[in-house]
Amino acid sequence: MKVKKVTFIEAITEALAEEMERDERVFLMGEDIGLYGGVFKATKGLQEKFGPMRVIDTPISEAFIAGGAVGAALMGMRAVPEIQFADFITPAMDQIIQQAAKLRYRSGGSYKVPVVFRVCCGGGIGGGLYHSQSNEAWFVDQPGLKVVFPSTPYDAKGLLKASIRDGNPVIYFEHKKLYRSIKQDIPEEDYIVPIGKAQVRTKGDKVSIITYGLMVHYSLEAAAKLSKEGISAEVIDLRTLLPIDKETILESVKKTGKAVIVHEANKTGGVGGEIAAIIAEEAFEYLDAPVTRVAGPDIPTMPFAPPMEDFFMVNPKKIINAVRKVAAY
Amino acid sequence: MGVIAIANKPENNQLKELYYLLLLTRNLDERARKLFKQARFTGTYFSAVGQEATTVVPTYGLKKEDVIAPSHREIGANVAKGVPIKYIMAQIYARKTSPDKGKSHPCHYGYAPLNVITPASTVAGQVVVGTGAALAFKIKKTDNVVLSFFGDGATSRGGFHEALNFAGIHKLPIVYICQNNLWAESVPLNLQTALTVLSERAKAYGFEGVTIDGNDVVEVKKAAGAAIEKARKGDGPTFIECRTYRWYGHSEIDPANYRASEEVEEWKKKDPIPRFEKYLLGKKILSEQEKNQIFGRIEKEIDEAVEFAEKSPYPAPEEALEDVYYEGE
Amino acid sequence: MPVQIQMPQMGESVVEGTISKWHKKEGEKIKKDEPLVEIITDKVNVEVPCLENGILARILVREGETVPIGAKLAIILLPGEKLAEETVSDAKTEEKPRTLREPEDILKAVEAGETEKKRYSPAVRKLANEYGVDPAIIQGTGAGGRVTKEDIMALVERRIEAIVEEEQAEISPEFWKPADSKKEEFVHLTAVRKMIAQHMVKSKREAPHVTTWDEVDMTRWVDFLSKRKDEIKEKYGIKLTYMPFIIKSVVQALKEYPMINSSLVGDEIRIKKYYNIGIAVARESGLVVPVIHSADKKCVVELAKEIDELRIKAQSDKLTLQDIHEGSFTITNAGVFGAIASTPIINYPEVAILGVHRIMERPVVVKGEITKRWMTNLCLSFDHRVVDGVPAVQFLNRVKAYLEEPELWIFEFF
Repeated sequence: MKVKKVTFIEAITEALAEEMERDERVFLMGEDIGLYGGVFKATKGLQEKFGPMRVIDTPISEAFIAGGAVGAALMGMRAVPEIQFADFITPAMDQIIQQAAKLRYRSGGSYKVPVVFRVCCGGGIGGGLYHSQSNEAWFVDQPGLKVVFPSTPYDAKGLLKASIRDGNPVIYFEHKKLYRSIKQDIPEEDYIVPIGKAQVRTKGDKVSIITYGLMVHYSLEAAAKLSKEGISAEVIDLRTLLPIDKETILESVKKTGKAVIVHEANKTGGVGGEIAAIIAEEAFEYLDAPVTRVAGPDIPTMPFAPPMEDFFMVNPKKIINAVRKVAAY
Repeated sequence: MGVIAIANKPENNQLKELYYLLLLTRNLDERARKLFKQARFTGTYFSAVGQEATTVVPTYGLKKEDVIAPSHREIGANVAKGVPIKYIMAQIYARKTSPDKGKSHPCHYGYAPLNVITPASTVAGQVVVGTGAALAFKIKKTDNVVLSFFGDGATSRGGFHEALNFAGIHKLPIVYICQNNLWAESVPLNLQTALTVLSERAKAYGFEGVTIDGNDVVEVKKAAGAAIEKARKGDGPTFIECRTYRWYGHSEIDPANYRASEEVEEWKKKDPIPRFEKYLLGKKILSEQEKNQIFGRIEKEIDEAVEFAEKSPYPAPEEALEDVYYEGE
Repeated sequence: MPVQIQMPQMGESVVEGTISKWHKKEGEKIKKDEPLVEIITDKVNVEVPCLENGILARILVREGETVPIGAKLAIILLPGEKLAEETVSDAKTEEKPRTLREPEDILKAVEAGETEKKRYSPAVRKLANEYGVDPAIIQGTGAGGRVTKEDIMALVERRIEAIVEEEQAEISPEFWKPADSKKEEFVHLTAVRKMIAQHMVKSKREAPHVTTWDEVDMTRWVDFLSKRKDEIKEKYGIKLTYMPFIIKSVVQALKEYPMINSSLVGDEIRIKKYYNIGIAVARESGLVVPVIHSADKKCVVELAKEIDELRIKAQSDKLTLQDIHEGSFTITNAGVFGAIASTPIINYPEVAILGVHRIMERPVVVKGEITKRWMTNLCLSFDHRVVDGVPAVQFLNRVKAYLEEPELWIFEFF
């Protein structure tokens, strides 16, 4: 198998280019994505290749970016609208929640809505209060939507392709800190990563660390350090948040009896609470320690001054401390 | 009811057919009101009596692949598009045989085989989605059009603005048909906007706006015909403001006491159907005998539609779990 | 009523204390909150104050004496009271602590001072229940002295050893001494053997065992294996035996007769929704039953691989708790050693066990003609409290059907 090394963002650009090549129904729209190639260059070169009506520069109109994508998808297109920053998704909420998520259902299954909302999220890059948010929790309670959150270039490409080929509306979160900080060998041929399947990144039998996105890398760093102390941690990369891979989570927790959930977004109302509830409901008999969450503090995400950003961000050290406590319980 | 090959029909036949559709819509609407008052179906009912010309006339003559994006007040557009009225009734009754299988509440008609997009209740949402459908037509370079229906209130929503703004930029093949009936539920026009002529909004979006007497079938036919032709040619959208009036409340549980009874009576005198009837009879396009035949036929058709709905079962409770997601590519 | 002063609980692992100094003499008046007695332990020193106004009527433990937690140290008379001799003698006789038979380093004093009710995690309760252990007697190694699941298992291991030691101690060497050492040999029952033995006795004693059997024509499988064994080894990397197909047949049949995939707990029959098939493995040290979890979800290749892995683990004593847990049905292969039939003992707390045996070429009658076929016996022992004869026989018929007509499996996949 031939491989090539790509960064996280290159994997995304490739996925878009390949899918647009493969299927003429696929088109992109968003702010600054065409001429400029995207504020992070995720769509670089695509307008030159596919033209301005397949890579559309839109006005500052998130409601239309989202709702127009839905309308086009109803007519057989495969829409991939971009929300430049997760922080700006709020004007699009009516269209995502009331139209995209529910159109199929309210029409008794007569329509399908193949739209992938690419959302650039996450902090730790000095983005302040409006360029750092990670609002996946707003979407995981919307049946009709799927929510994915890759952590590696391989998964970024495979999940984006899978999302585009899925006939349902998918919120695809891309963590901006991962864009250029990870490189990985990926296959040259076409491949997809299935939606709804978590990946055990490293096996262990003392504590299960359940996480996604940037936090996967911090958790792996923590796990490596912890193994030197004799604490064997199993790190599960969820990859998809809706539908969540309950089977992998429960299999791990039944083995270790101890679960630590790690996410960047603030604790209260976060995805971690949902996972903790699933574990409490379905693996209760196997628990030998309280289910613990390591997450951002409950403050607006996230203050700008560097020391305060550090205070907000979960990091390997915070993960290690939590896992140590749970392991010793 | 074959509305498809009307282009070949002589003009007079078209007008007679139009008359039939207007009458059918009116009687269907009045029958539904009666049935609701008899508690034969649950929920509520949004009558469009008085506004038939604004919906039936523009829709009449559209191609099968043309799209209509209605709200909850466009029963006439559904009838004129060719949606079998038994399905319209089944939808009102929320039966299993409804196109939405009982998922949506009354008057949220949708019908995928004839490209009627099922609406949500969030006002103006359908305008954004409809505009997206027009975008698809532009990208695919077809000669299809979208008719986007909405009321005066919808023009205040943010999404409305974004959708029309985008349509103007790209000269999308869409006709925006605003039924200005002077009231958005109980809020009068002067509290909705500082404008008195709503078609002036079109100027803000860079395309043509016209205001017409929405209760004059001939005028509506002329204006809508021209706008549809223009859109099909690729010359962009038109905003047609139809001055019209809603005889009854916002819904059947609204007595509409906020309106002066004199205003209501004035508008009832401008009822589009007798006006059109007089025109047809006067020009000898329609004879008294034909008129009576049409009346008789309509009563029978409506009786059959009601019987179909009342004999249809409700969906099974567990069917609530179906159609959340599309399974497949 | 006279107040008795007791040796207080001073720190969790402290079991006794020594009187260092009495601040008051016998007969002396005492005032509330004045220091009464100083106690030293190996962890902490404690000063016990007077809790009431009164008189120090009797000192029961002298300076320099060491007594356990909870022992009575003195008697205080409240104003207006008189001392009766019974009070004194009662206090004195309660001194001796209970002796516990557990190994000393996990001993925990459970008297005075332990007022908080202990909570145990679900995992600890589950294991405690399964192994018949009372967590209250364990000194936990978890946070704050909490009992962990490792603590339970450690106790279980020690108990086995303790039982063995104890039994050996009780048996008088004189009784077992052979009259002539050339005629008899004395072989120790190892700890593991002991456990296995106890398990079997329990199973046989509680469950009325009935064994029914049927014979299965394995000719197709014998032919298939001899023809394709090498090809399969090369293609899938597995050493193919009959066991994966037997497991598959058993699982299909269990789905049709769910009562056989159950446990009797008290008055409740717990029908398992999972199919965890135990495969008995013979070892030098005794029988053990590693479990293939979710056998219904695994394909033939996966089953073959897992059977092999578990067997190797069993032989080299590397099986973990996870490997032998939560079985719902057991298959035992006595045929490997040549048996043609047997009456296996049910693997408690399951309700049935299937014995598979040697496959032999025998003369049989097929369609009126005498011919030879490779035949084997399947012997099903079942718990007659839960399973009646008819379903047992029918279940066995289905296993036979699935083995003799593997075409039936096609319906699972197409």
